[in-house]
Amino acid sequence: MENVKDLLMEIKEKSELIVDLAYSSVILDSEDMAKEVEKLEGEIEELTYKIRILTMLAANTPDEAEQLAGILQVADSAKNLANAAADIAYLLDLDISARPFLPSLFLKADEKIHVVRVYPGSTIVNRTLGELNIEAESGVRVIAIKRGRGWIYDPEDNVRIKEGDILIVRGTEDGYHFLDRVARGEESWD
Amino acid sequence: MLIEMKNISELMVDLAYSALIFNNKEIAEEVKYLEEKIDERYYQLQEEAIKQAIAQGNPYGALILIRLATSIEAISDSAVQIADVVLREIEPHPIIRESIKESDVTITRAKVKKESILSNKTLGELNLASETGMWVIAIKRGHAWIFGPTENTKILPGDILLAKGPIEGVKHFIRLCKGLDKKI
Repeated sequence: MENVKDLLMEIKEKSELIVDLAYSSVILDSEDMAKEVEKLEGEIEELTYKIRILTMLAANTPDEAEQLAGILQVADSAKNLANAAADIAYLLDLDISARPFLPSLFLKADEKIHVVRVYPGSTIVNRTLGELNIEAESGVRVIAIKRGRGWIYDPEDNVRIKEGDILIVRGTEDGYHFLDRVARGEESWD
Repeated sequence: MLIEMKNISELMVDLAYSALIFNNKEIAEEVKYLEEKIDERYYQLQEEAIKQAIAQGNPYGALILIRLATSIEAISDSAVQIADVVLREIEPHPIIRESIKESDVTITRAKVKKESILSNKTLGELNLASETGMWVIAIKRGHAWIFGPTENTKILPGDILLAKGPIEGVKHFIRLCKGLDKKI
């Protein structure tokens, strides 16, 4: 059952990531990101399938089966959640003339997703996300980094921030403003 | 209204996982209650979007609003489905709890001691989410619950806080509640 636990953890994390990326793709009007959402949707589908098989193999008694049914339900719900999120990203398939105002729908004051550009001379340049411990220190989580033409989605702790990076972050308004000032070099991280 | 729907749906997902991790039926019931709120707003939004489309003679704005709202509504349905596992007769399988607990964004709870610096301050004053990464998603006060507290919600000694955030933030959060860490 250890395997199922890991798969369930993975599906939960990915289903949360896909929601953030789906909204971000709309806010940034990014078809690249929408493609990543589509890829994640496929991975989540695959995870659900694996969980289903492993869980079925584990049932010995009716009571066990009932408990295991709960696991299937959680996995399935996470998958449904991911599908719903993916549909948000698929709005980008509409012709551009049909959706000129789409990004602005979410660029409201109480929205949690923001974009931060890292300027040369910022104190976060050349430091890893792990060293900075960004989420615990500032209340914002880096959900993706645009570097040149490429993307790093759901970056790991060992990813080093470079000048010119564009960070897609999710979190508090204050945390975003702080990180933005630091990224501009107007304030020190430490 | 769309942002409001989005915020409620996010709270629902957080609460649904909280219900599972703490095997708590009250939280699960709240998720179901919030689903009703989502539905109300969903119907209202559809109606307004269509009126707008007719007035403007252009369907696309309404189409996008309705499709977004439909996705958000489906997300909140998934949250209800997750919470529903707790409302069964049988206790959820322990690996469900472990998988939530060990994921990179986890959920924890802690009781606020009298000597804690969180006592008698509002969430806005404390700025807890920005300073620690931990978001208070619900508060249990005596027998009552406060779900989705706002900046103006004051933390009282004896409150049990449910918070969501990075695993790295959990220890500090618990020490703050216990009054062991005096600085946020």
